[in-house]
Amino acid sequence: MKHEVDGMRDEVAPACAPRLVARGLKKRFGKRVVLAGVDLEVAPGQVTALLGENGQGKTTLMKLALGVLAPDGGTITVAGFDPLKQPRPLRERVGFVPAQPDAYGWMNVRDLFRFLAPQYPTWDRAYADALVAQLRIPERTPFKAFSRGEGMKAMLAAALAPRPPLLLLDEPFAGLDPLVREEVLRGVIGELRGSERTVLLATHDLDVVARVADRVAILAEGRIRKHGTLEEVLDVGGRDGASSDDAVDAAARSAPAKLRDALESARRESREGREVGVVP
Amino acid sequence: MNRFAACLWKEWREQRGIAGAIAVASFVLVLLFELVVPRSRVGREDDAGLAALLTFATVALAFFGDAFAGEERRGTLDFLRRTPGGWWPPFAAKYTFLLAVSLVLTGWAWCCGASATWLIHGVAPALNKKVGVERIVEGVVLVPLWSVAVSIWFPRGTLALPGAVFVLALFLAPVAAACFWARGGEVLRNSEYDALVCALGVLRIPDAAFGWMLRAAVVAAPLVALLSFAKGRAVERGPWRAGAIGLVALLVLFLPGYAWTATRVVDYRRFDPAAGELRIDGEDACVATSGRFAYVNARAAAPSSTLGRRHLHDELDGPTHPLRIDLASATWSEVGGVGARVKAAPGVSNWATVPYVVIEDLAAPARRPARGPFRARAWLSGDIALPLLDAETGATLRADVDEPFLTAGDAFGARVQRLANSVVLPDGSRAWLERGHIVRSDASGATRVLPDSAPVADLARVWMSTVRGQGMLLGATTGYDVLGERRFELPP
Repeated sequence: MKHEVDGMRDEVAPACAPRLVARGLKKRFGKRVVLAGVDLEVAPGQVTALLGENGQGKTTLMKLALGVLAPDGGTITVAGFDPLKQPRPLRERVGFVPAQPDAYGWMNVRDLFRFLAPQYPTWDRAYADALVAQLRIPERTPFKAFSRGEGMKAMLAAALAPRPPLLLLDEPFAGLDPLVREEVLRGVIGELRGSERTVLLATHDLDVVARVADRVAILAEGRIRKHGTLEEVLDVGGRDGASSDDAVDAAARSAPAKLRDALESARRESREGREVGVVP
Repeated sequence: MNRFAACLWKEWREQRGIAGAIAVASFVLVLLFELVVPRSRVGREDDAGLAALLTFATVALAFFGDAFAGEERRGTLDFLRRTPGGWWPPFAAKYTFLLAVSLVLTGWAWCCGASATWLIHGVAPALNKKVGVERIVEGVVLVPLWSVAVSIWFPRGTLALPGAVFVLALFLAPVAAACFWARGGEVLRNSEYDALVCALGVLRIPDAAFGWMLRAAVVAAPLVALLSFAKGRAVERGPWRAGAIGLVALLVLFLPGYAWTATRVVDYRRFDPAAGELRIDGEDACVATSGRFAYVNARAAAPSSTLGRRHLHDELDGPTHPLRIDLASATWSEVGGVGARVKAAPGVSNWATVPYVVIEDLAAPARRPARGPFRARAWLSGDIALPLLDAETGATLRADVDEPFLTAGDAFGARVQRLANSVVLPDGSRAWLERGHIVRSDASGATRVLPDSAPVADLARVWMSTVRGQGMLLGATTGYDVLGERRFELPP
């Protein structure tokens, strides 16, 4: 089916089709099995939080989605493309923010844009400039002199500038001090507000999940243990104590409870008029 | 700006500091060199080429090995991998940049050198000299290019240069081993460099073909790099996978070379008496006493265009083949291995006809240390066992003519006289001079001292005798008829 996305006419999945579909996805590094058969669908226009503790395979799943890693089994399609066979159209449609800013140390944000702009047919220079201003990213400071927060904001701006229909965020808030974390989070939320952009957000930050996620997938022991809307996952979590599924590990069992607390906290803040600010 | 241009800009932006530093350093160093070195120095016309050569080597060290490994080291390889352009634009941009920076900086250094020698000393650079042309292609270009390919296999660029040398040596080792094996002991006579060139002579590579092989190696390096990067590093699989892919690619590239080497080695060792370029080494040729059998060393002459022939001349000819030729029937047979030589027994004084011959094969394993008198040991054959053959029958009489055949009491090699200067009688028996007596053996091997052959003159101390016909010269005026077993005086 022909589908036009941001001016590009290509063979892509229909608009209502899931943006990311993984079926029995497996990946191991040496003897260590990281993904043992992940089944996941990321619905379009929604923010799906991929929740899991460190080392559960969230980054690996992201890399598989980008075609940077090759799976050992199963299949994955992103925006209707096979990451290994069709990496180019796929990456043109996917924005990615890594857990650590990994751009060249000598680059400043302008250099980064100069390098990346020719790579993306949909690169929006004006939008990129606006993001730099809105996120208050130093323009002439090289990455090696950036704080971690500034680096993450620069990477976020670079990921958003092509206006990709799918955004993959790999723990972008991890390790940030609270103020910067709040600033980056506002940037993300502001970008998502009113847009139809699909987001897969890998995190173990339950507060972030509570504030931005429409759906939650819990990754533990190499599999998606729970997947649904926030409310569905919370309900499942409520029944979890009665569950006979012993394979669900402690993290997966405890996450819904923490999530409920975080959600309540976020709603309380909202009721008290401390709703988070947004980037216009 | 397209994707390739963006990557090329990235390379330039990343490396311009080092490139600029090299440019400035080469200018300053050339200038200082020309100002400091005395005006009387000769060879100043080559300075520009030398500066270019050294600058290229510096560029190679600074940029080539770290071209790909640097991305891994800096943690930016994932960043490159995620770009929609994939692996091709960064790969092409890196090679383009390396080529450009090499050409520009090398050219710049040459210009600096040429200008300095011209302006300071009034010496024009030598354009027709081969400095920095052939040698650059052979080593200075080849190794850096391969170091780029090998750097893709390693996580650190510092391993690239030694890695490239090691990998190339590893893959060339079978060729070298085959060549040395084919040459046998002949190459051992030469110095290390000559031995190498000598061994390469096995391949009979024409000069022109060698040049093409070098160019093929220059082209092959980016191809192997391309495969290694595209299949091994474009997706995160670890550097060792890229190495495995690169090594397999190298093996595939080398396989035709190995097959070609094998055919060359077989050709080299095969003896074809009908070959047009067959050459007979005259210095060791000898004829059996009966006159029927000739012993010669034949070898195939290498074409004049063979690599290294101008340097080593006859050393590059084919290996010797020791032949026994039946002059009556015009048939021949090889009496020793490839590379061995047939010659008269040591100490022979009658070069016209010989009763025995020995086979000298420098590739034969060294024998155990001789216990005989030092003079005899050194005089005979050094540390190599010499098989002794009956010149008439071609049969091997002893595996080692020297030890323990010579005994400690056999001073001055008297027994050697038995070998070298014996008289062959019509019935096949032999007579020889031993300790001043003439000794004769019969067909059964039994020996007896001939009558009237008691010490004559100083023969007890003389270890050389002269065979003439059926007799021996025992002095200036005395002869001995072995057949008639009598002594006689020679007419004045």
